[in-house]
Amino acid sequence: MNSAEFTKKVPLELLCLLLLEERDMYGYEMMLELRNRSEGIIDISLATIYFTLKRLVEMKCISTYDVPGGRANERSRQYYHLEPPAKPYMSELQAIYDRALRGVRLFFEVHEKMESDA
Amino acid sequence: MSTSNAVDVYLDKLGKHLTGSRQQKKNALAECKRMLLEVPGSEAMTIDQLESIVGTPADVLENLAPNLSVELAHEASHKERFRRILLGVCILFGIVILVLGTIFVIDTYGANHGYYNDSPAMEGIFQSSQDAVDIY
Repeated sequence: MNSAEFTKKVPLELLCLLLLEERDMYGYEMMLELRNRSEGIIDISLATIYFTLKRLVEMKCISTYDVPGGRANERSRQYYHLEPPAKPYMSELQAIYDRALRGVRLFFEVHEKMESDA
Repeated sequence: MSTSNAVDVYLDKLGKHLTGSRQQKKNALAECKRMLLEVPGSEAMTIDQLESIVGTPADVLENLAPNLSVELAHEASHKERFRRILLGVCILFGIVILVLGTIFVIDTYGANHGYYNDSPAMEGIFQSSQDAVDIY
């Protein structure tokens, strides 16, 4: 499965919002956090994360602010901050994902049972 | 020999596949450049290293689509509409020229111009015929 196909199966908006619920982060940092916390399973390109964040900014779920680089040649970074409208959206996404996950798990259980009976 | 770094090479590759107006391309590339420069040491990386982190330009285009497709489609419809209007104006202009030309010709030479008795030579022939009739 290529990266784009895998990305479609990950609730990336929800994961980004959950990360930002903890603290403000910049895009690259979020990419690394997603990778590290999932032990490398969620290895999503920066471009995908960046445009997901852009979409969330347009939805006013998050806002941005620039932080100048610490060292002389370091570029400024765009940090993302969670905004109040994100909360109900996160709950909604969480509910959808939980429901889908529960449905898939139940399906797997029934499928396993039927296979063992056969 | 070009001194371009991986960021420039990446943006070049991306730019070749971008569609839309010059301003839209410029905005998209500026946005992508910002994203690329956020990667620590991106300018010192090879293009392959950069692509492994950011994704290929094709990935970027795919991700751009949900954001820009509406604008691009909107612009395409504007272009199409402009083309149709231009075509309509050209056709209208052609019809006006044709009508004015016809009016000018009719006004100058009369409605029967080109059919009979419209030149001294023809008048002479008609006169000769009349003379012949008179003789007989």
